[in-house]
Amino acid sequence: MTEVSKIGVVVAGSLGEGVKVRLNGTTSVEDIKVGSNVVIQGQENRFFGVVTDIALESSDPSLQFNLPDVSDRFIRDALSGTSAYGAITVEPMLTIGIDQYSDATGPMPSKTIPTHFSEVLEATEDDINSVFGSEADGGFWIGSPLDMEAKLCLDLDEMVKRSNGVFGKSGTGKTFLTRLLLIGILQSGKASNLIFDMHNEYGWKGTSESNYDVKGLKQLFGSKVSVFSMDSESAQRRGFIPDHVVSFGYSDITPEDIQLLRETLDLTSVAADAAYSLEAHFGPKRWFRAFIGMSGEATNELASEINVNSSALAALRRRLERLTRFDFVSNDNVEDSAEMILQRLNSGQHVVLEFGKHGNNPTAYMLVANILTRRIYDRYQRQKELAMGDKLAEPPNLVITIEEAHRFLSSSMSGQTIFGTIAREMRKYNVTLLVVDQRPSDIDEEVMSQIGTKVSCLLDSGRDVDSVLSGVSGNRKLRGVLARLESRQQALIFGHSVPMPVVVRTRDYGSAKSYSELGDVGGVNGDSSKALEDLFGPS
Amino acid sequence: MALDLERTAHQLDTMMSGLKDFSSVQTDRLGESLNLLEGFVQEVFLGKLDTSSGLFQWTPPIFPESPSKSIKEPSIPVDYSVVGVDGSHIDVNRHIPVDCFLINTGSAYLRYGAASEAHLSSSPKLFVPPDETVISDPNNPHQLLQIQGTILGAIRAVKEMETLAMHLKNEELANSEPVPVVGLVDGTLLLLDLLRPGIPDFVIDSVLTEGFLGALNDIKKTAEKSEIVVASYISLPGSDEIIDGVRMLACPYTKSDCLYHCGDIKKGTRPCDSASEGLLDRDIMSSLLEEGGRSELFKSNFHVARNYYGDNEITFFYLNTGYEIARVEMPAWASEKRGNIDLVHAVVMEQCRKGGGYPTALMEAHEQAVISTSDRQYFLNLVEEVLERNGIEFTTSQKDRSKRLRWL
Amino acid sequence: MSTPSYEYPFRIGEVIESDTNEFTTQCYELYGAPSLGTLVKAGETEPVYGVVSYSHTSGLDPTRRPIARGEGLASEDLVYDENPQLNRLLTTNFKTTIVGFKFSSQITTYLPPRPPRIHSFVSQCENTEILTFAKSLDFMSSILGANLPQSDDVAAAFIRYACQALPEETELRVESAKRLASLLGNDTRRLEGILRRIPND
Ligand SMILES: Nc1ncnc2c1ncn2[C@@H]1O[C@H](COP(=O)(O)OP(=O)(O)O)[C@@H](O)[C@H]1O
Ligand SMILES: [Mg+2]
Repeated sequence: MTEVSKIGVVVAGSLGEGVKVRLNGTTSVEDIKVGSNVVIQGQENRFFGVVTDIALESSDPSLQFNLPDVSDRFIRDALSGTSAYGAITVEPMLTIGIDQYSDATGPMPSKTIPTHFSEVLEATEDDINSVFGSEADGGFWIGSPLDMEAKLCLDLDEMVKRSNGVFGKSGTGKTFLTRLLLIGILQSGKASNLIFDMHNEYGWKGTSESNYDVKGLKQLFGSKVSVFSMDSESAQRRGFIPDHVVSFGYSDITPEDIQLLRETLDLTSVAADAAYSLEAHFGPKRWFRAFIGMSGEATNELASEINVNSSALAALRRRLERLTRFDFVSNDNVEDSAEMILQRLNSGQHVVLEFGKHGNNPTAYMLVANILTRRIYDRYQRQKELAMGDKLAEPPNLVITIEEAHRFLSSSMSGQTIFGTIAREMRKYNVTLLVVDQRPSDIDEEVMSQIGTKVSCLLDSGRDVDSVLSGVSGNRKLRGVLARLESRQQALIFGHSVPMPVVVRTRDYGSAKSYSELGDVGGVNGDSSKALEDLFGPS
Repeated sequence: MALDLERTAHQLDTMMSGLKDFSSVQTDRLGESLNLLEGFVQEVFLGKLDTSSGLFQWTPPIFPESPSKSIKEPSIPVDYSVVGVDGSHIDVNRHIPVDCFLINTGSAYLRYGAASEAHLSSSPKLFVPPDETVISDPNNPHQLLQIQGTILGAIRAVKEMETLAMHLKNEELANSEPVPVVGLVDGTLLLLDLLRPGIPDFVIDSVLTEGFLGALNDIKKTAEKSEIVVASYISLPGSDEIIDGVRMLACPYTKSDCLYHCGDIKKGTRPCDSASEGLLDRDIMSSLLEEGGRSELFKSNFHVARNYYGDNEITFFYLNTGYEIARVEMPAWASEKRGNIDLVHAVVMEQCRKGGGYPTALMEAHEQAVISTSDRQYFLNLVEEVLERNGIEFTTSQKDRSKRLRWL
Repeated sequence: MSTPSYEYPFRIGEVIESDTNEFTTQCYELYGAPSLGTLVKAGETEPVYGVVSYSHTSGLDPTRRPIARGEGLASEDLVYDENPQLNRLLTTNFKTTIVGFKFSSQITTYLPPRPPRIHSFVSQCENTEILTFAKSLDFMSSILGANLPQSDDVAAAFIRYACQALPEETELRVESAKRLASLLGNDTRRLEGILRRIPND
């Protein structure tokens, strides 16, 4: 057992406001950080809590007006911790029974608070393990609590049951976090991953902002991971050959996709809706090719024929022409990429879809993500329904990771896109989302409320904070915690896979040590000099 | 109104005018006596003293060569000690069925100079019946005298002298490097009260000879070995021995036969009265002695005393302490050496300066000895308590009973 | 005559007045009172401890007032040399606030069941005893609460005294100051005043 250090005693408080803890003389307020974990030894319960506020207090109300001579170190030393002392507010989150019998039930949400003068201790590694579980219990080590070395674990079983979210403004470590979560899911075998890798960071090499490469999933897990690409040139430039280059035919595009692209294509709703009329007129799968090949006159005629405003239809045709310019979209019949991805997923592989240069084009990203997801989801739905309750015949759990998720899940869009459906249906068909986003306030409220576990790094605006925390109890106190996260590699995690909200310093990713801890199986890179570099870290 | 203040005031006025007359007469007489001393010739004086022996009604002392001389204050040794002794007593109380009394003797040892220090102490002694409260005739045990009043006063003087003797002896024994020591008692060494007619011889033998003079003899013995002097200090002395001498000087007759010459003459109008009547030694001395100065040494000449005192015959001088004219007495054996007189003179002067007019050693001894009124009451109560505890019935006045409430 | 203090060097005097809260000691030597704030003990086997809070020199006999004696003298010491009786007539007494007691060789830092007897010998304390009280400081509240004009000085003096006696206890000064601070939590002014009287030396 490590030596426990006492920080103070409970002197006041309420269940609603949290308990007030007077720090003892040896603990400085500067040693305590908001969001860190403490344990309160009550009379009958052991409470596990979070520091939600830190204050300076004084037993002499006149102290602030009649300032003693604090330039005298002696006087300052005498006063600090006694007349002038630090206080923290602790939100008791969980109750751990003191006797071993009740311990067996595990931590329970606190329904009371500790008595006066209960001792408050720094949480130890054992405390963290007993609350959050350990790697030995099958938890996934995501990082460490504030100012602690202990490994804080997530309950992945709980995690894959629902859609989850990783939030944070740009540069706070969302991608690194997501990569860790993906690895966790991958290692646990509890689900397959499909990752829409907008910025080419997950499959093969990611870059860190300190400008060195970090390994992608393929490099770590080799054959368990397939990397599909939208842009083989880009893949080659980065020194690897993708498992498959994805392309679509005109027939793959549906009116629903057009709805999704309405904003990026700058279409009026009339124009976008016209796609449905076109589909009805020309028939599914054929409408796009037929419509795109029409001349201006023919379009006008068609307009009156299907009773659509002619200028709107003309606009629609002009905008859709943009899609034909994508090199992954062709008139010819192409290999069914969705089918290939499904096969890989069904065989237990994890699939990363790299967008290459198209990652910078929201239209391309959204179109592809939507087309593929719809196809895959259709198949899952069918497969699930066919299995009729036979677990073995069911499709494996699938986690779909999307960056910039608000593009698909905004309140105007989420009702229409497949992503909205998945988010709302939860895991009805064994498919869940891992949404990664920097602007959670743009995501539809209802979708946000369905997210099981939220991992939030520092956010840009109060609106974002509100949306992330909406519906969470103790919201006001968590706000303070969230607002004070460090700008990188720190996150507040709350929701189903943790028993209580907790701030973590995200586990390091990118060093040789981190790779070996993450179970690097050698990947596909045989280059020995590269392996050495991995071992000793980037130079 | 019980006292008629108006009439009293009037009478006081009359008294004052009488006093004024009296004091002018005094001044004249004093002038006369000083004149006589101016022309003093020792041989003539001694001759007349001799011829008039037994006829002259007064007892002049043996005058020195120049009785009107003022001797300057001599220098004082750097290191010296003074031992002062004084006593007080609680007399026999008629309320108490037991004739007991208590004498408390206080002493102050003061050492001056390099090794200056002080010891103050007091020792009470309770005299209890049957043996300690009476003096009995060794030749006739039925002859006894109850000790009280005058006799008790004398016993107290004995106690004082004995205490002084003891301290001086201790001091002599204790000091490897002896310094001059002056032993001082308060009051006269001449216990004339004891020698008054009516006091049986066995009492004189016991108290004066064995007691007082015995102690003085002890001191004398100690003094043979080291520089120890004993003296007594008399503040505001009422004696008129020198005046007696002046009277003889003023007597116009060759043979001063008082009865013969002046037997019929009224007091105050005799020839000698013009230079002496109503005067005290200190009146003359205050005119003669400059501040700090002492007179020459006179030798007491009481016939009654001479038989008993022997070597301890009393000599004396007067001293102008700056505060008053004091009389200092020394036994003859001590004043034999001029150095001893000088020592006593210097030390007493210094003591008076330190004590603000009264020798410090005596003052501290007195403070040690003094029995406060409350202590007196306390003592009485203590006696009562002891007696009652021993079943001795006790009749006290109501007044005394009330005082007993002090008892806790 | 010799004073007992020569034979028993740690003995200072004897108790002449005693109550639940404090006892008064008469010193064997004139001006022999320990410094303000000193820890002393009264009694032999199961002593009562006190902190010197007041000392007083005056004539033994209240009716005799000292008078000026040094007008012609070159130094103050000469006043005493020239008037040796002063050493006997003046007496130094000191009061101590009772702070604890020893019972079956265990020091307790609260008031004893009864104060020391009159004539108990009063002597200096050993460092281990000082340490016990310096570490506890339980008694400070009674000193500060006594509301004597000198309370604050006594408190400060004790800490100074303990720090001086126990130089190896390097944290003592700050630890004590903190204890004081918690006792005087709502009176920083007063606390500051006391702390100023504990300079670092
Ligand atoms: N767990 C981590 N281990 C190592 N570096 C990290 C970690 N998390 C964040 N970083 C650093 O922070 C930078 C930004 O992280 P990133 O995940 O790209 O942010 P975001 O996706 O939120 O824009 C990374 O380039 C890296 O240097
Ligand atoms: Mg990113």
